[in-house]
Amino acid sequence: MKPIDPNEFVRVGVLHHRPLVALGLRAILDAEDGMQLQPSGSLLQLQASCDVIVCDFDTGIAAARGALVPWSPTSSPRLLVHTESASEQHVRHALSVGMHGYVVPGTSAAEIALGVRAVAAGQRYLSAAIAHRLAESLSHAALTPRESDVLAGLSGGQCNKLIARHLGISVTTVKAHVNAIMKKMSVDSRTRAVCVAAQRGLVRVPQAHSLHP
Amino acid sequence: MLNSSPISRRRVRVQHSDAVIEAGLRAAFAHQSDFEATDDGAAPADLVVCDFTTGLALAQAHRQQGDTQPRSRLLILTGQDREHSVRQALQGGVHGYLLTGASLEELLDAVRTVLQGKRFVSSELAARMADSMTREVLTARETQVLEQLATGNGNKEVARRLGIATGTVKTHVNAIMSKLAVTSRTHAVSVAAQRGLVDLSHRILH
Repeated sequence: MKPIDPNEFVRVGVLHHRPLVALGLRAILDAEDGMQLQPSGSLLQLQASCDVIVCDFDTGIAAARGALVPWSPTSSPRLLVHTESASEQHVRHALSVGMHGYVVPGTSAAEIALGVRAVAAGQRYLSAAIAHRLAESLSHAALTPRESDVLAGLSGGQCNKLIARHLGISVTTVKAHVNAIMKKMSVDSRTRAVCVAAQRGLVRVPQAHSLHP
Repeated sequence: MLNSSPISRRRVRVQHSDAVIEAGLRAAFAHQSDFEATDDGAAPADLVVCDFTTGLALAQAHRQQGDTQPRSRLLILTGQDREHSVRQALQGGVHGYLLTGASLEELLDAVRTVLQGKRFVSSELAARMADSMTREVLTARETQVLEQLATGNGNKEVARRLGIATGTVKTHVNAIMSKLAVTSRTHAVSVAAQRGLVDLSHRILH
């Protein structure tokens, strides 16, 4: 990874599918000392011109996976994602595919600039709201993959029998999983488990009416 | 209230809680010929573009002060896309409702439409609202019961909190499940959360 001299300018680009967010990010970064905002362009162009790219979630994931242009985890720009989704699942996914930073709406201009500098220096960066949320989640016991499957079934409104059939396990096993889930989440009903899961972003609720593709 | 003189440009104030959206709005409003962004809080603006919470607060302030003072029109720009929120804002006296994913064209269209004294709802939201009109509407009491279900309360607890009989709660729950076309309480809560029929936001960690 190319070490970045703190005296050097950080070359930063913005690639965000929400026009207003892109405009705002550009205005904030342009006003920041020690940063050189690169002209808007395609990922290929920004890859060549930037140390850091601030992008939306889908673009970040696709870029880090090399799905759009060949991507090198060592020499390509570092990615700072700016997205509305603050769910644990999304944050984990973003960091696991190789993004360096994660910020959400509500983050101040100063914090965004801080994030760009941090990822430029090779550090990971989470905005305060996200860091707080992850810290919160560490205080809960993690669900096993199977428990997550069962929880997803519960969230879909399935009864034990249906969940058992879908997962190819017995009803008794489902009951055991449900009890384990409720215990780990410190709740006393299935419905409350589903609510808490939705709040913490533990399951992806099917968004039949989602407005944000 | 609204000065329609073609000579003076209309005054638009930006007051958004999110720094990025605030900066984006200011950049989008620069160099417009028919209106200008203003920071002058003393003189009333023709339009305030703001976040959801600010929009509701300003609308409430307008209702309380009555017709004695000149009012700014209100355009909310938010990521809050639930039916419940849109209804709440429009019923509260907000004139326009736009999502943060809007294109710049749609934003400028919304500003001009609201400045003309009309209402504006983004096309995505309008489609969703139209969709919801084809479904059966929950009564106020059913919505309260649904909100209680969403917190995980059982029938007995719901009855106690709402001061009604457990049998009545059961009747409401059955009516809710029938209207939402679901067969379990948990599914009812899931569907309600997706459609934005209940407001769970205050329980979500930020």
